Amino acid sequence: MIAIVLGSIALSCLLAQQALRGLRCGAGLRLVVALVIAATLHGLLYLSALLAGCPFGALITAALIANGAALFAVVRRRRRIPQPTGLPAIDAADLAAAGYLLAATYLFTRSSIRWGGWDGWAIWNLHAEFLYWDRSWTNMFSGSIAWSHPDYPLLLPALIAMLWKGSGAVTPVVPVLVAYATLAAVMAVLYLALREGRPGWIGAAGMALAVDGRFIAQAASQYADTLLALFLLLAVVFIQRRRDGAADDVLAGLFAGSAMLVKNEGMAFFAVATAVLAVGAARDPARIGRFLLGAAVPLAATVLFKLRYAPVNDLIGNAGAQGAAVGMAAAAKVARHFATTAAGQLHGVLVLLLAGLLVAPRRLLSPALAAVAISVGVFLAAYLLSPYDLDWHLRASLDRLLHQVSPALAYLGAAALGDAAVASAGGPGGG
Amino acid sequence: MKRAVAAVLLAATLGMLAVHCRSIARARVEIDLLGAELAGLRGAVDPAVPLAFGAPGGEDMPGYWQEEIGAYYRAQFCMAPVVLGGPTSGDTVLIVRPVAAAGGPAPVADTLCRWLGDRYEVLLLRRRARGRS
Repeated sequence: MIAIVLGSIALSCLLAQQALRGLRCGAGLRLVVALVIAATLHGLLYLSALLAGCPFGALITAALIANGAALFAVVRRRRRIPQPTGLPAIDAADLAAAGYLLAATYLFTRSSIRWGGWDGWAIWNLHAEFLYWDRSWTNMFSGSIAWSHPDYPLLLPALIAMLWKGSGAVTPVVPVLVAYATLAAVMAVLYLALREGRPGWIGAAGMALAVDGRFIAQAASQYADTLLALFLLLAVVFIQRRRDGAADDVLAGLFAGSAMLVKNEGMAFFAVATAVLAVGAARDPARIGRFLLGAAVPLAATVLFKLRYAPVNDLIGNAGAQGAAVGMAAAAKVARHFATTAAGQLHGVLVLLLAGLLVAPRRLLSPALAAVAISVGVFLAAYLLSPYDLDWHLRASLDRLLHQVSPALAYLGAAALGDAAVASAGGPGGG
Repeated sequence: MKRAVAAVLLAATLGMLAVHCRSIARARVEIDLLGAELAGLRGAVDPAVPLAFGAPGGEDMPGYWQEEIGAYYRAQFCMAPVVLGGPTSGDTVLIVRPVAAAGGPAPVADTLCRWLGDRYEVLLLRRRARGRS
């Protein structure tokens, strides 16, 4: 069945590519975006099969046939239109990016271990294993394993379970491949999106500064943070882009909404991004509507999951249970941890942001940056509700919060620098 | 020329990933071993119920054990699964495999077994899961 699963994803990807043909971007970025959309939809399809109690084999076969038929119809209709032929040209920046991908792959294999890091096996792969068993998957919500955070969204476990189901076995290779594909997608989006109308070196430099050894090791841990980072990055790219108007807004909504399917932090980001866009909606009221349209499906899936299945989140359910460290002292502690962790972890990202602030402050200070910065503030404020020892909680998770936002922040800094370079050279991005 | 270099780099990337996946797949055979153990429990527990990691009865692990046990679990995925649900109306089951046979790291294994009261084999904890109705 793995061939059917992968075939359906591939056809869905080609279909999404066709739907995105109007997007004025390179073929590479369009392909990566289409692939992420296809994978996300298949993860949702797997969850739908579980929720509806319908056999996944039948559903994925139907999806394969439907995708094939739709693709056939689209291609047949467009056959009369001359299509560009030949492979795209390759330049030095592309080679540098490919070389960096090879180096990143080496670092990934050095860090990657069977079943991943602590949360990898104790939360994400564990949830995936529950989802593998379609008859009794709701046992994962048992209070007996409340420590596994059964309220966490299920897109990553669903993707893993779907591939396990396809391959017919719970194999440790699948989470490794999913983690690697996610890392590669983050790198590809950073590189390709930064290259849009900007010099090639800015794409390679932005990617290398954001995806450093620490980021790669975290990606290899099989946690959901890298998948969330991918969605936040894509949402920021399309919020910032504004090149194709309606399509950019819908895609921004789709990816911001999909972030909610990965981790609870994604819900905070979606709420903040919606609010930021709503504030700016006076000039373009339709924008927020298009953004919400893009987010409709993941938003509906999240609401259904949270209302019908997910237990109460431990931060919310236990807030104050152990004398929540609310107050100035706790806030100061959170701020201190944030400053030291950011300074120790985000060297490349901070360089890009500071350089962007110095060289092109007006380009950097954008609604997309506001959405990410306010989201970080919300993440930090959530620590004040922590029922756990605050020091332990900060040590255990703050680095991963920064991991989630670092590609998006790196993109914004590098894009501002690249736009300024183009402007100073009198290029199309000038003014 | 550039195209050839790019092709070589991508081929090397995919090759490295393939070698890594092969080593991951061959690292242990604990899933098969676990399957055999579950098969041995047939009649008591449906082997097709979800497996979860956990301390006995799903209780929180003592903090100071976590790193050691975590390392052990990482090596032994499903080493001590808590089986929730099943045909016997939600009994919690803890299964522990003999460590030496699985080739786990000995010091950690010893620690875990001490924690479990030197019970190497199969523990059936007749504790009803506090699941949702």
